[in-house]
Amino acid sequence: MRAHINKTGCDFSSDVAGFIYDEISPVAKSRVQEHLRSCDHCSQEVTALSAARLSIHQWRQQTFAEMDTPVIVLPRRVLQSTNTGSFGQWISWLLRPPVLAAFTALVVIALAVIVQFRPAAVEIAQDLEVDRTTQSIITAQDKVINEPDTTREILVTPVVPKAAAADGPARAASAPTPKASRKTLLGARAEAAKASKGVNSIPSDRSVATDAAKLPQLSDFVENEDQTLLLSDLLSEVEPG
Amino acid sequence: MWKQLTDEQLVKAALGEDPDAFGEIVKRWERKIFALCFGMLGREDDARDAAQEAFIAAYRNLSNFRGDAKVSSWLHRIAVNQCLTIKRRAKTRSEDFLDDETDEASRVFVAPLHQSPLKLAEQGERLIIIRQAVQSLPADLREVIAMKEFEEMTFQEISEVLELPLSTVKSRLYTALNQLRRKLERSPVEII
Repeated sequence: MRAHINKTGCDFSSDVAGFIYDEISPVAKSRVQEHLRSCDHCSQEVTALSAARLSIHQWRQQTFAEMDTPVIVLPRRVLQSTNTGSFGQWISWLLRPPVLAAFTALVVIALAVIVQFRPAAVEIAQDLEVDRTTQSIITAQDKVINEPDTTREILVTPVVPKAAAADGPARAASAPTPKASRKTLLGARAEAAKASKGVNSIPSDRSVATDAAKLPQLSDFVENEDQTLLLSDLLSEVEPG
Repeated sequence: MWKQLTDEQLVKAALGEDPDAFGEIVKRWERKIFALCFGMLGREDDARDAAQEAFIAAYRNLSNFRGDAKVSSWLHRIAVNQCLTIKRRAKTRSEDFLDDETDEASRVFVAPLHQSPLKLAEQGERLIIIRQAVQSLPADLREVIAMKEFEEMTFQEISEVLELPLSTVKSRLYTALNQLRRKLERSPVEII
């Protein structure tokens, strides 16, 4: 206990409060009484403290003792809000066994649905990705083809090569058909596009010109005016969809 | 039905959505809490409001009650906090507070009829001084004075409610009485 040493140096304060309120052991009480008999200063101090205590007691007796106990009323809204809106009660409701069981069952069903339908969903996503890639390739090709360069003006004549024509009608008969020639031309065109910067990138005029040089030349074919087609017409025929 | 249960059992019952159990807690503690509030605030109206608000706050926070503390400790803490809140509010309207000092004294002081008007006036004035002296004590000292003098609790009970060592309670009471004595000695009216 913290010591309250008074002006005379007496240290009896550890028992003073107990002595004033008469909550002290008999031994300690007789010790304090003995000291007070021999020390005027401490005696006066205890008298003053007791007087202060008595003042409070009188104040209580003349005011509080006459007062009625207030009627404590808990408003209905407080009772309702506490019974239904308490967060703690919601938590305890959630932790009840039936609620927990229902929640667990829902989680299991959700997992089963995910496991069941996930492969199909992945497949669809992959298809969509392939479609997007194809579409971008076609777009790039269109870009290359529609560039205003000299290759656009080339009239493609899917005809018999000169060498075959020189061999006569028999070789001419065995020469590639117009349809086969178109395929050859388109295949070469696609390779040229791949060789450019990238599938999705749009090649510059210069690279297009370089690519065009790699294409089969008109001089490799024998002209056949009946089968003459524009390159754009060919592409529109073979484009999917 | 509820009378045989402890406070802690009543709280559990109240948490089981039975408001009547909390009603029993209110019955048990309303006078003591009112006494504490009066000792802390010194005004009947404020004490009534504080007690009412304290019980409402206790009911609202019933689910937060920790079983490791006593219900009495918990209720006292809530009530003391409520008193401090009301005291702060009163400070903001301190001018009004000073204006109605005279009315307050005449209202709360029930004087015996056989005393002379002069004696009655002196007693009324003395009670005001005592109340002001108590109210000017720091909150922790006022708290122990209110518990000891108005709730008439023992040192041991105060120690349990405030969760303080017994020696600290005694020390606070000694300090409170000492400060009070000095304040009263300075007052112009004879105390005893």
